[in-house]
Amino acid sequence: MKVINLHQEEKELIELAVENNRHAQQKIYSKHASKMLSVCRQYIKDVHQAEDIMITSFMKVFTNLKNFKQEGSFEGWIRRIMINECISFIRVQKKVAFIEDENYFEESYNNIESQFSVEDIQSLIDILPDGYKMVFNLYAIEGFKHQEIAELLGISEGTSKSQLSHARKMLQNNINKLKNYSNGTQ
Amino acid sequence: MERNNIEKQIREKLNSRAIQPSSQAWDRLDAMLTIAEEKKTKRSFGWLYIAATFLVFVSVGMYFYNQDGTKINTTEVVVGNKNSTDAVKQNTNVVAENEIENTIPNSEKQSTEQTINTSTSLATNHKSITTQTTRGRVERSEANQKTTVNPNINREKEIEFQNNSDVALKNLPKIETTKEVMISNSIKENQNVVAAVEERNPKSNNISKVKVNANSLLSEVDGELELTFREKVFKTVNKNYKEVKVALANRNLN
Repeated sequence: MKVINLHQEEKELIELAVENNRHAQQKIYSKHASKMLSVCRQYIKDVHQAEDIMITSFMKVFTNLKNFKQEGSFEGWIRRIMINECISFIRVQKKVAFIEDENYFEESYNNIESQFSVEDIQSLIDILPDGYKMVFNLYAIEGFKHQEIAELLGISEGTSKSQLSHARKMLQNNINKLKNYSNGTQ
Repeated sequence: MERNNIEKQIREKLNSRAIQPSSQAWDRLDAMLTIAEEKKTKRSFGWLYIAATFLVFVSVGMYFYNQDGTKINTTEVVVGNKNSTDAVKQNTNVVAENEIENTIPNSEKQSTEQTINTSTSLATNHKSITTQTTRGRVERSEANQKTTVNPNINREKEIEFQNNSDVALKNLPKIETTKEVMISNSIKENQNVVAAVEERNPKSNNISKVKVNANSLLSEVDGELELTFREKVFKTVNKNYKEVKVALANRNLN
């Protein structure tokens, strides 16, 4: 019953927000902002820049809210807008060039049992080049398929796979470095 | 390679993370939304303005279009106005009397009776000239009136017309004096004709009336030749309607 009530509440909020009810818009914003800023932060290292992207994405959310069909998850829809905005920002601002590289091999992680803090994980991702970072985020965290990533980034599926492979290799190295560093300090 | 533990750990930890945005973030978004709303309302007003100006242009166009139609009707009235032509006749008679005085010193050789005849012939010639000149004047005055036409004020037009014709007639003696030699030559030829006509019809006024009517008829024909599109449409529609009416009547009779 509680879930149904929540869903109903969200539906009403969306309907109000479509009619430019600022109170409803603020409610939607405060409900999703912190999570969406986290999503933007995955792609963009600078928090302030990530916040800017989040705001413009929310702007898009509210202007396109009438197009949202109440079928899927509202959060998923917002998240998708955030990701699109982050990718277009990176591609426009940083002019990422994907190297067409079809030669890749499946990278396997060593058995890493150690637990990392969120900050450590974020810093590990932050080190990755933008191309690797985008593909890794989309594949490993958002759960996109290579075909979808290829479409989203305008690259070939092979490039997406090779980018992921390189990203994983780099990540593995960085994890090892981090582990060695933390072992050394202990 | 499937997504293994470390990737699972990364995903879970990142998805459960929440970064609180700065307090100004909402204010900025609020401002952006307000600007967007203002733009939207402005855009709608812009469309209203465009629609309003379009309507204004259309109405002005319709006004002038309708004025064109009425203008032609009023000019016809002016051309076919008997009162105005009568006024012209009266004025030409006056001028003819003046002409007698002018022509007497020039034609000393001719007898006084002849001069009277010539004066009448002059009057008839003069009438044709004056009617031509007045027609020219009328056209000019119409051209002038086009700029300041008011379809409701027919009377004023008539007055203006008469005034213009008066002006034209006042100017006429000057024209006549320049053309006197030409006319005096033609006088002799006309004398006989006029004399013969006068014998048949002692009242010369009737002849002049017929002549003026012919001119007005000619001008009416000229007007009909220059029918506007609207009038043509009206005519054809009327004609077709009558044809259909006749055909129906015939069928019913049968």
